[in-house]
Amino acid sequence: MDQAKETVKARALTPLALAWATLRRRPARSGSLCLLVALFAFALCAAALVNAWLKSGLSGLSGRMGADILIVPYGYEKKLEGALLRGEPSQFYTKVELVDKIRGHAFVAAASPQLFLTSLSAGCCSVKVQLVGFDPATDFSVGPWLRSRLDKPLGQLGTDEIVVGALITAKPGESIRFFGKPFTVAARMDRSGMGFDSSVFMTLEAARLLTKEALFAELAAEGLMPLGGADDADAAISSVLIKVKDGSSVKEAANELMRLYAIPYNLDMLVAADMLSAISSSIKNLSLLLFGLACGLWGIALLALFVVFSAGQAERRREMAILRLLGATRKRLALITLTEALLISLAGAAGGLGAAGLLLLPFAPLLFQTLGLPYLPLSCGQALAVGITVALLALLTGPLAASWSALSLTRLDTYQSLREGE
Amino acid sequence: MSLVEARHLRRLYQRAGKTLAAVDNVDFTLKEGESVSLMGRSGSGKTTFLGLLTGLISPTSGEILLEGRKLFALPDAEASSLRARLIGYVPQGQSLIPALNALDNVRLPCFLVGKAETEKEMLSAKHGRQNMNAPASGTESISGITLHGFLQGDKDEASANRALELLRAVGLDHLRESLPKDMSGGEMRRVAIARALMLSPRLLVADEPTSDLDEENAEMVMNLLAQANAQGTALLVATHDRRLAGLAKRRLKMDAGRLAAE
Ligand SMILES: Nc1ncnc2c1ncn2[C@@H]1O[C@H](COP(=O)(O)OP(=O)(O)OP(=O)(O)O)[C@@H](O)[C@H]1O
Ligand SMILES: [Mg+2]
Repeated sequence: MDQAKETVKARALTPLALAWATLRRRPARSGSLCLLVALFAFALCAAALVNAWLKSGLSGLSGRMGADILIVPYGYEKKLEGALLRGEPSQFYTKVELVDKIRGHAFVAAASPQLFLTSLSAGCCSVKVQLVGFDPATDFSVGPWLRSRLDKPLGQLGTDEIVVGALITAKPGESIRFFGKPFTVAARMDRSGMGFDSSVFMTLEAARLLTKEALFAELAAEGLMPLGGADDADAAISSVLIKVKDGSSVKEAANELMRLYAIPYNLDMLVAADMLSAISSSIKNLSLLLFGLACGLWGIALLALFVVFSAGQAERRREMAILRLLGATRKRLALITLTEALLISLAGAAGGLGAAGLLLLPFAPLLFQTLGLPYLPLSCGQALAVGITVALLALLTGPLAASWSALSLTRLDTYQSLREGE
Repeated sequence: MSLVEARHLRRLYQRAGKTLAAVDNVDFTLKEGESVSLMGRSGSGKTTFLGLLTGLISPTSGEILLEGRKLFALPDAEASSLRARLIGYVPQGQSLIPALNALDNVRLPCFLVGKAETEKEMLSAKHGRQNMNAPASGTESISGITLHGFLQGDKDEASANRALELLRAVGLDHLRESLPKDMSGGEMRRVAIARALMLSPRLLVADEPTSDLDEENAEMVMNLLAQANAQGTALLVATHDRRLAGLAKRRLKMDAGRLAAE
């Protein structure tokens, strides 16, 4: 006999090797169990990520809003919401005298106007950009946030200077043109998850000048002329942000303001708390839906694994009886069973998390934009926490489902399957 | 000292509200090197009896002693090691692990009991024997290869060489890479015999090893069993086959759970 034939492949038949061999013999069965675990991991990952994204976006939103009531021309409250949440450019006008009238009420702590403009084209951006003019003297809403990046007082912001949101690609010191007029970028903000990220901020004065001076013809051609034309630009504002005094009811204040000014000025208003609670309830619904889906998939995966691993399966019982016959301790049998289940979980968890990483992370901004919800990317730590939690739960699925079977293997008389045909 | 001893062994089953005694008050002793055949109608309790002797089925009452030690009084780890070391079992029907090839099926017994369990068990076996003033035996056997020996050395290679040797002895070394699904019934049975001999047991138990084989394969299997017995391994074989039963020096008959000399 030749020597080459004599060498035999000798691998250790550890519980891991036995479990692996068993799984490989039934690729369809093992594969579908893996798939179930992967689906569960993916759904759970999606649920947890969406939840985390929405929460961080929402907390950014309520912190940044500052105002209790926002007044806009009648019919524009949806536009304002779109501008605030998603940076959808829009412009609309009402009269500046309103601000002083509102400020005169005892229940108003602060009132400050903003003027919105939609850029037609700008060097920085391929799409229209929302230009926001704020009043440095009275502002309480975006001012504190802008100051976090700006290295000088708001009042010193020149009429040719702007602060840009995180999504505008321009570095401080660079110049951007709006309506043909050059502006210097004084600062660029961090991500906020709100529409502010794609907005450009300037003083009210600068916004007025731009409205007045800049390119009437262009504005007129687009049908974007302020109320009453150019002469009226000094008197135009888009919205009034109102902070109600502590101790006064926001609801009553809103009602009173509406009663007095809604008809003469043709106004409508947004109550910030209502807007946020509407968003947060839609967040809750989406998270609930995804978590529900994940739970359902988990149930299915657990059930399928349980059935496959159950000692009630004749073939499995007989195989275990034979291993037992060959000297395996009951603990070893349980170990082999759990290892097999863990391998399935491991492959499923890896697949599900991998798919989540490949599909969810890159497309999340688009998804949130489509859903009209605020979006803020997660920090590495947050993403890692989600990944680890999901991985642990997915890894647990197999052993959990197989544990009943493993436990029953540690009891005597599970091995009466020596008789053929049983 | 007897290798295996059963005292007042009884196993009851409940079926459709009725109690059935599959094994009924059996006393039995088997000595080193002996050969025993067990005949009896289908359903008379042969497989149940063998399962009880090897500790896989728990008795309703009575006792099993392996090497003089009460099997059901031992912790599972020690009982498992004792069983593996002492008894090679060829089960009724197809018994190979479908996911493993012939060689790995034969090697499997080396990997199922841990070293720690075996050493603990063998230590307590020696103490037990000292107490009974009996000579230590069990580590050494005909072929000199034992469970304990495997656990000491390079298990992977030693077991592969030993398994190949056994496959050659049953005439199947050419099938070492084959999976059970690619083997005939007779080939699977011969691999199962090789596997039962892997740890050089002192008793070979076979449950109807020829009943589902053709003449030629049955002959081969019989020769293998006879050969093992001739080399000193005790033999306990349940069978319907008079010729196979004829190999045994002592012939027993099972009838409705009761054991009697034929
Ligand atoms: N787990 C069980 N539950 C109920 N009854 C059982 C069980 N195991 C065995 N029996 C019954 O015990 C009796 C003995 O069965 P056993 O398998 O020991 O017979 P056998 O002599 O090996 O038969 P065969 O020659 O067909 O293999 C039979 O009547 C069988 O139905
Ligand atoms: Mg039987």
